[in-house]
Amino acid sequence: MDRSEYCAQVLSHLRRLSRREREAVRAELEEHMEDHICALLDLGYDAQLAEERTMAAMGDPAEVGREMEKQYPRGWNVAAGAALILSIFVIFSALSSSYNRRMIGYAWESVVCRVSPPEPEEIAAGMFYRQEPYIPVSGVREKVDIQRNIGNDVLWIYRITVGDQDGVQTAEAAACIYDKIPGGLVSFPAFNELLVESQRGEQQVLCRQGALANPMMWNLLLRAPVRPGDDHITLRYDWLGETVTVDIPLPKEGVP
Amino acid sequence: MRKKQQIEHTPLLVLSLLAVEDMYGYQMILELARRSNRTFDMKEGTLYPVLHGLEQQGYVEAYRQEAPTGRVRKYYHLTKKGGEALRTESESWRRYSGAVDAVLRSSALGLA
Amino acid sequence: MRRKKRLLTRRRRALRCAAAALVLLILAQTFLHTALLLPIQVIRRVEDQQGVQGARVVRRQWEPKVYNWTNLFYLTANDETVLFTNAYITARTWGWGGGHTVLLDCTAEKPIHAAQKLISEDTGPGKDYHCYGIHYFFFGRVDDPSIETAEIRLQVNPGYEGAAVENVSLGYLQLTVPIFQRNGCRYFLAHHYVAEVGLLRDGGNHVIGKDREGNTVTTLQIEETSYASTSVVKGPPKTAEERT
Repeated sequence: MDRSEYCAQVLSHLRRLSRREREAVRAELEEHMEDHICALLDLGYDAQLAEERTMAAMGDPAEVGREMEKQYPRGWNVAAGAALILSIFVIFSALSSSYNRRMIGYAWESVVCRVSPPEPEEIAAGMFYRQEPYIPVSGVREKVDIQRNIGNDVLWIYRITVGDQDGVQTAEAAACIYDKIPGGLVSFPAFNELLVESQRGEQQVLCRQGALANPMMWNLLLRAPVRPGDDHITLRYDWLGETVTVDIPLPKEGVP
Repeated sequence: MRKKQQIEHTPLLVLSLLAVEDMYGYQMILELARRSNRTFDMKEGTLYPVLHGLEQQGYVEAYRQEAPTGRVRKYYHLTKKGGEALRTESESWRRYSGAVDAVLRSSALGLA
Repeated sequence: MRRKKRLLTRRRRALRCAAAALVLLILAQTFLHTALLLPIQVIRRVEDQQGVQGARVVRRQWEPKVYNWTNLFYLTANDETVLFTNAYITARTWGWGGGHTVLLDCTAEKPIHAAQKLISEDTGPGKDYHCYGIHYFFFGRVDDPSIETAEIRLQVNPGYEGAAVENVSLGYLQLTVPIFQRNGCRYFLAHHYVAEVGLLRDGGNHVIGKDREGNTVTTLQIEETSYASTSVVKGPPKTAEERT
């Protein structure tokens, strides 16, 4: 019997081991035998005798194999297999429907909007109002920074524009709503009740990008008519006994 | 009887070798033979099931490194858990061997 | 000599796999709202979507005849609202899904708050849309301490089995619903199935609160309604004319 035959006999008893583990056992035994043979060669043995003596010193390969097999408990492999199945399940679940696949993009948008929210033109792209493409107000534009916590959600108003829209002086605020925790869902019943008012109480329709397209982040364009001398428009809603009123200041240049 | 003792106490011997320094398999065989004055002269292949069993239980951990011979070998290192097991098993062995000694001494006195 | 990288044992490999799987699971559940392993996760997601905070489970009811055998209906409540929703295992979401919901606003001063959920059972696509019946779920909160029992007056066709006749075109079923106490408040949840022959197109249902002597304390029309279907067709049940 030579080294490779010895290892083959040991490995033939290692049914519970994976291919990688068997290869590691083989390598370790081969290395041991190599060291023993080299030591005997250093003592003046010839190669064949050194190998024979080494094989004899190694002991019964069947016994080594049987004892080795006992040292590898199945339990951990089962646990690793279960973890792998769980991971496959999660990945399939995440990619199982086109809606789930879109959720990956929605989650990313809801994170990005907190630092880099979209401009009104980006929000308006793809929106419709009374079956016509929605044209955002162009005119004097200013940054604002108004945040309100509403339940689990944050309403952030970040732009105000005043300009002429179809012959009417109009103010339009850009806002987004997102859950406090990235990845959380926006509470849509609450925000279905939003109203935008001018200083005279005239109410306008709230325009929301893509309706319920992204459940984690809504982009809003809040529009109300304004007149010279106006300095704000108002966002208002009632929800579960809570009334929220937010005054959105108009640009410093005011209404022309 | 002698073979049974070797199998039972081989893990304890291996742990005590590794308490001194990290070793690879062939090195342990040589060291064991040297320290025991060739009393423990085990079949070399049977060391590896013991080592792998200790590794799977967490008493030792392994890594590959170049040996003084210039060849890369799988070294074994005693873990904290292994050190505690060594202390416990050593103490048990000392009590056991002390008790055997005591019985043998009293038998020897009886025979004398 | 500098020690090289430790070789992995089965235990260490298994723990790493488990840790990776757990991280993947948490990411999928948090950001994608999928791979939900427990029904309560569906409920908490629904609460988040409805803007309900700090709600606690008041009742959980297994209803295997609706949707599928794993279906669980939940009643959860906080001080302002009572939420009725469900969770069941669905192949579409590879885990627990559901969330067919009714939210009942209890902020108004009323002796009793009530809502209803109607779930129709229709045959699937490819056959005639033939409505076999409606699962009615009535639920609410009883705020008036003098109300000891609650009844639901469910309007049905006269002549429907067990119905009392109100007039030639209207009958009703009187259902007693048990009131139970949880977390210092009193609630009710009742389920009743009405077969197709008993269904009325515009039946208005009422909840009646009665005191210990059986006297009526209050009668309230149930306004808060939500519709669902266990198959493709959604919305209120079709009339016979609409089906032909």
